[in-house]
Amino acid sequence: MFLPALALGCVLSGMVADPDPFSAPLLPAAVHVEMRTFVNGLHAPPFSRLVIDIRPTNVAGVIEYHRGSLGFVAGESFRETIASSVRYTPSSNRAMRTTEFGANGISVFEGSAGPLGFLRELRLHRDRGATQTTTESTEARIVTSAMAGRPTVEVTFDNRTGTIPLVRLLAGNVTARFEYSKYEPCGEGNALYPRRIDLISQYGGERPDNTSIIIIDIVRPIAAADEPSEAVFPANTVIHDRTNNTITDGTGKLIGEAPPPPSVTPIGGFWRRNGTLTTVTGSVVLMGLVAWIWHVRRRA
Amino acid sequence: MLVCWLNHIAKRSKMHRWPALLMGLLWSVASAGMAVELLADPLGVPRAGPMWASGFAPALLALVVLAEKLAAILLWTGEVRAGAILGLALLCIYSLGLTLWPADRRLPCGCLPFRLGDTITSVHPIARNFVLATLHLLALALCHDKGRGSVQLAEPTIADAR
Repeated sequence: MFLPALALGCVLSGMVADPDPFSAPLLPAAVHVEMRTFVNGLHAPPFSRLVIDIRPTNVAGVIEYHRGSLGFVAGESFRETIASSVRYTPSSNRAMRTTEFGANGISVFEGSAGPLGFLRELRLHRDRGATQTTTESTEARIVTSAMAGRPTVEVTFDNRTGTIPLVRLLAGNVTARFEYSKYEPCGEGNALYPRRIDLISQYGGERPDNTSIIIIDIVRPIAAADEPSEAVFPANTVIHDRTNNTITDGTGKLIGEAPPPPSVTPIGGFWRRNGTLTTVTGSVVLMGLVAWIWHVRRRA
Repeated sequence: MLVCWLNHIAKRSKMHRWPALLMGLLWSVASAGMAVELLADPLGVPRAGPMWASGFAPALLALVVLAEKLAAILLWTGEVRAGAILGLALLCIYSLGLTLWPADRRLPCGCLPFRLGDTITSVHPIARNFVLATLHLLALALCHDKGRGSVQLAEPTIADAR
């Protein structure tokens, strides 16, 4: 008598409370991660080190690049919240303030630090009414989310382990694969976090063009509700605010208006849209001329 | 009429040599570019970035360098028919390769030691190959000589006459 009632209760509760399709039950909510990156490719320096705090509504951290005998040199620090995203490059003493993080739901540094950012991005896509499809099997659940102006995100949830083994970003014929493996406890209950990430980008076909191996050395849970400390710059820093297109110094004093982005001339725009068609048409005309010259010379 | 006039002008101004010389220059630059890409590590030359050909075996790329160099030599020495056919074959192989292993159109083929600009990358690589193929055919048509596979690209000298 009790068991059938319990079963019915479970079914009804399942029908009433729609489970979060983007939950990976064994992933932590917020983590501090320190990792080393080995890049096999030419799109980034071969060795780098990233320290990052990932929370549900913000990320903050610093990336260091290995520069020969100088060892690891601070490359860029970042503090990204829904309201504003600030990235600072100490070598040039310049910073950029945007709303990228709030607009995209993920930091550019985050994918190579773990799968949590992609969950935030999926939720943001859902809130904005993006096209989302879920493919369910006993072993895995694959959620695909496509929002205009962003690469299509495809997240694979492993139903057996409660983790995310794979995320793919698809943009045209360019694919980026984030393979998360070696899940181990991270000090928060039974939560797991990957210790190795393989990032493979491909330009069409199956041939990888760039491969990065990321080894995560330190993971520890942090408070999910905390906000990162405010970004502080030297007084002579040049800060480009891309939201209102101004340039200020480190004290907030306005230096001037940022120059507008490069514009495309009508001819340039036409060429970008119809370059291939125009080239083929020109070639066909030239081919006709070749045939005519051939004909005339053979008759001569 | 127009073609006859163009033909006349081309003959008088030796313009008929230009497409062959231009295509010879193209293959010469291409073979040098790929050789630099191939020998970048031993020579310590910085690479321009990932290229379409980067994934292929170095021995195959070395063969392509030799074929490109041969095409350049043939086109420059007046063996326009052989040079143009070899050049067309290389373009066909590249187009076929692009079809089988498609790549981002911004990726250079591997024959140039630098990245291509937006003006060029706006055009699909196979369409670019079509232009080059047409120029080869133009070279072939302009240098066509009945019954001969070669044309004399240089004026005979007094020494030759003797």
